[in-house]
Amino acid sequence: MKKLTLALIILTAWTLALAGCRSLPIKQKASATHQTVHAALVAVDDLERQLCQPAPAQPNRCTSPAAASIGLTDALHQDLSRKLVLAYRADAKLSTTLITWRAGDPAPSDLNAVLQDARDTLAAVKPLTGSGASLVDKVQLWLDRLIDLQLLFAH
Amino acid sequence: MLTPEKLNGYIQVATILLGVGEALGPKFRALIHLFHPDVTLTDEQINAVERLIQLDAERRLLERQAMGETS
Repeated sequence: MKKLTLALIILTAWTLALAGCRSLPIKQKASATHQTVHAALVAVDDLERQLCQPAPAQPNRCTSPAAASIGLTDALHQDLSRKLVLAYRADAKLSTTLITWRAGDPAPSDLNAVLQDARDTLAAVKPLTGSGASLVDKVQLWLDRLIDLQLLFAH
Repeated sequence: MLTPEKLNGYIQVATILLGVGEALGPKFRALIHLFHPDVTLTDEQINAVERLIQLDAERRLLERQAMGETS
């Protein structure tokens, strides 16, 4: 009985391992990577809002007393917001492209523009100090995920 | 006979069990990584996911437009 149980466990593990190793279609891989890009972008957005705490009536102004002390001025908040507008526009266009995209099609043309936007955003947040450093990490993560997506299309 | 439906059922049960295992300790995480299935999606399912991403991006874009206005 014990041998039969052991054999069943091994067989189940082997079957599951095979299922896990199954290669996914390239379009699904691209979409899955795009999901990580979008999640990383949203994380940047959410953290910046958390650090700034924009005023509901005047969302272009930060209300957090700590914001200015870490270097997150109203002007920087506005600048980052404009960069995020570009990023979200490109992100939405990436979705449109991926919906019609087929294996063998060229890489989405917006990818280079959003990569540059991410680099510009990284340069803009680098001077932040204290808790602002975590925003630098989030932007770096977003850039890394974008590079993953670019590499995926390069293969 | 092992049908895709049965296999999917086994995978789900194993995932739940391994999920419990994950809560027990980090040693189980490698196992989960090994056994967790990558379910192949249809084009329609992928497109539905992309449309959701698009909606979220468009909503956040509008919010950020208001935040980006110069004083």
